[in-house]
Amino acid sequence: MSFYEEGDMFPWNEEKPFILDAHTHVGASYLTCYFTDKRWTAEDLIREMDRCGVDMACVSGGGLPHEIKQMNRQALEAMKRYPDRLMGFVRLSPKFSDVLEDLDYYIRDQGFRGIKVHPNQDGYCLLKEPVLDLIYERAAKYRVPVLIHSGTEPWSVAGQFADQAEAFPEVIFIMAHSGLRNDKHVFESARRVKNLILETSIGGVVSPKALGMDRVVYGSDWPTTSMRSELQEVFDLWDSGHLTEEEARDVLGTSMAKILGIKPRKVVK
Amino acid sequence: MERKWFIVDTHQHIQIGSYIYASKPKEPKLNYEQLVAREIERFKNWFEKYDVAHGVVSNISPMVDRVWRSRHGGNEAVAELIKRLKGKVLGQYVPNVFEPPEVVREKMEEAVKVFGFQGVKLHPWVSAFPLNHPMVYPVFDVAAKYQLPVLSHSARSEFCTPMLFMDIAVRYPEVPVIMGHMGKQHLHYDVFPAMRLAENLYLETSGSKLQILLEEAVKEFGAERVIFGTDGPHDLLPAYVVRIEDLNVSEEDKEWILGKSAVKLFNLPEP
Repeated sequence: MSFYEEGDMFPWNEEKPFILDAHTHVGASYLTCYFTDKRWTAEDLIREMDRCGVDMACVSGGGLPHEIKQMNRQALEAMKRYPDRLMGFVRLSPKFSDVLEDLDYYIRDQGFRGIKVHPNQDGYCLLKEPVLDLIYERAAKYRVPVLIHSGTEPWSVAGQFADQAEAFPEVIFIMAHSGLRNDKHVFESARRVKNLILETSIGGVVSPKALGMDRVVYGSDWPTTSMRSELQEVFDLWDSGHLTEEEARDVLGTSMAKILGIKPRKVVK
Repeated sequence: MERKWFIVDTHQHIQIGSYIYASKPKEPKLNYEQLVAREIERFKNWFEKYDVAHGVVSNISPMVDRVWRSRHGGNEAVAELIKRLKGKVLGQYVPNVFEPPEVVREKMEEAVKVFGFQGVKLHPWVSAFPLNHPMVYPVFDVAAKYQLPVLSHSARSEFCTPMLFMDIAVRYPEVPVIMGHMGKQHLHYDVFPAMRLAENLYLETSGSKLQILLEEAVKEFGAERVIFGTDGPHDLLPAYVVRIEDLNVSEEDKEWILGKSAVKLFNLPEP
């Protein structure tokens, strides 16, 4: 296998794996919106998924912190437009007084599959924000995972993830970015609890061997990163033997499908 | 096999001696000569597998060790690698800035003239010194004399923020100063003001994954001021190359980032 040849980036011989990107955005992302006014549409996202071979994606809106209402409307429109490909994650901020109403509306009424919170951009600390407890109680009630930005102290570092995962054992927490390559206690914190999942964007792939099944999921945080490059990291680890085929297929999509309670559905050849 | 890109990996490490985050609890079973042989083999195999034109290499241990066990500490293993993989590998010397200034100068002169090092690597975070501290001036004096590019780790550590790069680069305008990792995942907003104030400041791509940051940097400063690195060598090279391929910049800019900028900076033979 050589990455220099067109169309030869895939390590599998026969069956293409099911690929589910656990972390994408429409609109903008936290890491693009301060550099550019550019906004990305649902069509842009689907085009990128098609190019990279990504079958399905979890999508939340992204942008500046005051734009949360608009972010969620954009994610809803994207999901409605591509119901077979996109699953909405509602972006919630405790800074908004109607945060729980928004949660109910998007999860219960509109069928969003998860919750996204961003302590760094919305300015609160994971273990100090009481509204989060109310959000987690409802996440447990609706059985949806909570995807949380990580890697920026003091707001959201690995130990805090493990502490809250212990406090809410019925909620599945997903550590977006696996600590952003900045936090050196990601693996140790994940090992403390069963309900903490590591998402690979920017932070890289923590080996699932020592954590057990379904604990590491592929995500790109597109359009922050190159979706294809983030995916290629998993392929490279598979191709070089750092991940077994089973581990790679789990990371690429099977594990996230289990977490979301959906049937893997291959769309892209 | 024909390669698509001419690639120079400007940020590589051999691993002989002390480790970066914590000491290894067990002594290695291999002796020094065996470790050097292992690393030479690892590099040879990697260059063969990925068809990368050149690697610019330093060792981790001289950054970690506060007191070196031999005259040039872990740099001696890099000297051996340069000798064995002649033309393929360029050495970056890691000075011990805590030694007296005249000793630092003397050793760096030796590194260039006797061992053939062609660049300098600093790791202010791991070694614990501010990048713009006067104790680092002797390093830059010699770098200026021999036109050696200086690559340093950057991150949110107080020792190596992008603005400290700007400060030392302004003081030594004749030295190309390379910001390894471009501020990593947190200090990306410091990159632009630093680059604006020092024209001899360059960006190295490993450790940062923000596409928009790199695209805007190319737009404002030109691809000649961006060089490709992996912080490897490792098996994620294809993913790192794909990241450059996917940038919304011209194909020519991608060629500069992946190899041509480094050719110019390190005086390598034209591809």
